[in-house]
Amino acid sequence: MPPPAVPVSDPLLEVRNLSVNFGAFAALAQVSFGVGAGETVGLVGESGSGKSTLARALLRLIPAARGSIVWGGMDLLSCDAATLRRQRRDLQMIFQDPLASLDPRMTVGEALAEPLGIFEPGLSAQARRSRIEQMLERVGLAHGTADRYPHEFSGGQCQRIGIARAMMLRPKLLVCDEPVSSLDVSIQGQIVNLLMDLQQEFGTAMLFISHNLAVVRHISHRVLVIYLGRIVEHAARDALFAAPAHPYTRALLAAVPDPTRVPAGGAIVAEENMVAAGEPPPGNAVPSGCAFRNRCRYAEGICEREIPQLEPVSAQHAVACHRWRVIAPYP
Amino acid sequence: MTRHAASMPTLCIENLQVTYALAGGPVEAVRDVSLTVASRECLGIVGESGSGKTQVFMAAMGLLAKNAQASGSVRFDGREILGLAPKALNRIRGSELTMIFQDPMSSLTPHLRIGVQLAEVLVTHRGFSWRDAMRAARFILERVRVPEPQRRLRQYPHELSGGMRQRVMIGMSLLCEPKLLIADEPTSALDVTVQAQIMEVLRAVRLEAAMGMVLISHDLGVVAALADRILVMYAGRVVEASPAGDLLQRPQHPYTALLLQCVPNLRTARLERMPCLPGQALGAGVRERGCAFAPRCPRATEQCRSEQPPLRSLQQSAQVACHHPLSR
Repeated sequence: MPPPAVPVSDPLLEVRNLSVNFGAFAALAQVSFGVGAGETVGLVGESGSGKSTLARALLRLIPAARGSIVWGGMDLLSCDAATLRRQRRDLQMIFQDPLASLDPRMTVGEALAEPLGIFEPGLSAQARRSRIEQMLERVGLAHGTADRYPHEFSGGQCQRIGIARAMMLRPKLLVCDEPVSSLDVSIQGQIVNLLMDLQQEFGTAMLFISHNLAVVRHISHRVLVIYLGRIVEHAARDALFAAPAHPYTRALLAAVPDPTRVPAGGAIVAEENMVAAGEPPPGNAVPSGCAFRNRCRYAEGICEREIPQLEPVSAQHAVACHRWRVIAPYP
Repeated sequence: MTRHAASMPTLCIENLQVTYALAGGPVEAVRDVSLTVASRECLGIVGESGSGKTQVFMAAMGLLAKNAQASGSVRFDGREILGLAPKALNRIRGSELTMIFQDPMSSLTPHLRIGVQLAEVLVTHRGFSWRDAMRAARFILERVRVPEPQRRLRQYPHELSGGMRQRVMIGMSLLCEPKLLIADEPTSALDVTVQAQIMEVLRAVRLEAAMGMVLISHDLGVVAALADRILVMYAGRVVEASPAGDLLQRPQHPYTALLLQCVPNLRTARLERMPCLPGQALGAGVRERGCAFAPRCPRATEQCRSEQPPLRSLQQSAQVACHHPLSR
C-alpha cells in the first residue's frame, strides 16, 4: 500500500486508498491523505469531482467500497455502530446551505443543546444554557440569539450558528463543506477568519472544501486538488500557489475572477486557453487513462493509455500528471 | 462619456420606489433609484443580499410579489412599462426584455424536453411553426456553445449540468433577439471554472446580438469581467455609479472600496486575515437617519450619522452618495 503522497507526522486522521462507488461509477478512487492535529487541509475541485463524497465518506454518512480511515488508532470503516457514534463527538461537519442544515422549528438554543443532550446528558439545564450562550458569543452572535429561530437570521449569521453547533462538543476535526460558497463575498472573509480563530483557540483540525482556490489559500496549510474522484495534486499551501504543477490546478487558478484585471476597454481579456474547456464528463463517460485529458491542452498519447499516479515534485508537493515535467513554467 | 451615450437609452428608470407591506409595517426595499442602460451597454449592478438590486429589476419586469408597491417610472425602449397590465407586459417580457436567474433548474420546466421549452418561446411570441422553431432552438444552442445541440434538444433539464442549464437559459433569453437581457446572479450557483465559461458566453452573445445587458451580482469580480458601467447599491439606494474602469481603479465610495478588497484574489500576497466587511448589511426595512453605511464605514463622521448624503455627480459620468468620498 503506497503511503500518502505528502506525509504528515503524527496524523490525527489518515485516509488510505479510500474508494467509493455509486453503482458502476467510481466516485472516489484510491484517495490517500492525512490531516495533522490542528491543521487545515483544503480540498478543491469542481462540482462532481468527489469533494462532498469524500466529506460524507469520512463521517461514514455514505459507505466506502475499499480503503481505511484511521482515526484514534482504529479504522472508522470497520468499527461497530456504537464505537462510531462515540467518535462522532470529535468529528463534526458544517454545510454549504446553513439555513437548510438547521431545523426551522427549533430555536437556535435548542439546536445547540442537541449535541450536549446526546453526549453530555448529565449537564444541568443551567450549565447547558451557559455553554450555549458562551459559544454563541464566541462565534459573534448577539445576546438573545438562542431564543430565536433560524429564519430570522441572514446567511452569514446562519453559518455562524452552524459553526457554533458543530463546535459545541469541541471536536478534534471539523469538516467544512463549501461553508462560504453561498455567502456574499463581503462576508465570506468573516466566516473564514472565524474558522481560523476557532482553530487557534481550540486546536481543531479542519478539512475545508471549496471550488475557489483564492478562499482555500487563506485558510489552508495544505491543499488537495481532486478531479473525478482522484487526487491530482497535493501540496503544502505555499508550494502549490508558487508553482501549481497540474494543468487542472492551473485552470482552477485562472478561473478565479479578479476585478483588477480590467484593461481600459472595459471587459477583461479572458485567459481562454487557461480556463479548461468543457466540464467534467458524466460518470459513465470518464475517459481512459488520465480523466482530465479531454479538457487538457497538454494531453498526448500516454495520457490516454495510463492513469497517472501521484509522484513527488518536492518533499511537500506531489502531482498525478504524465506531463508535469514538460508543461510550461508557471505562471 | 461612453460611445453609446448619444442614442436613446434602452432602459430608463427614474425615482423608482419599491415598498413591501409587511405585518410589522411598510418596508422600503428600493429607495429613489434612477438609472439608464444605453443600447448595447452592459450595466453591472453590485450589492449585498438585501440591497434591493434584484428588486429594481423585478419591479421593471412586473414580477414583484403581491404585497409590493412600486412607484416612479420605468421606460423601456421609450415606453412606460411600470404598472402595465400583465397582458401588455407579456408582449415585451420574454421577447424584447428578458431575464435569467441564479438557479436555472427552477427556471426550466422539469417534465418538458429542452427543445420543446426553447421552441415554445418562438411559437408563442413570434408565431413560428414548431418545425422552424425547433431549427432555431438548435441554432441558439450552438450560439451559446452547448456541445451536441441536437442531442440536448431531446434531453430533460435534470440530465444537464448546472452550467449547461444556464447556457440553455441564456439561449432561451436570446431567441426573440431582445433589446435588453437582465442576468441576475447568473453564475453564483456555479463553479469558478464554469462561471468563467458562462461569462465568456455572455460576453460573446452580447457582442453578436448587439443588445443591452444588466448584470447583477454580489461579486465585483464577476461584474468587472463584463460591465461598461457599474452601479453599487446599499440598503435600497444607489451609492455609486461610474464607468467600470474608473470604479474599479478609483472607487469613490468607501463601501465600493471595501467591496473591492473583499473579492478573494490570488494576485496579492496572502494576508493573515481574509479581508471582509465588518458587521452586516442593513435589512431593507431599517429606517436609517443619515447614511445607511455609516455604522460599517471607517470614514463615518457625525454628519454621516445625521444627514443622508445625496447622490451627486463628481464628473461627467461618475456619481457618488457620500459626504467623504475617497479621492479628488
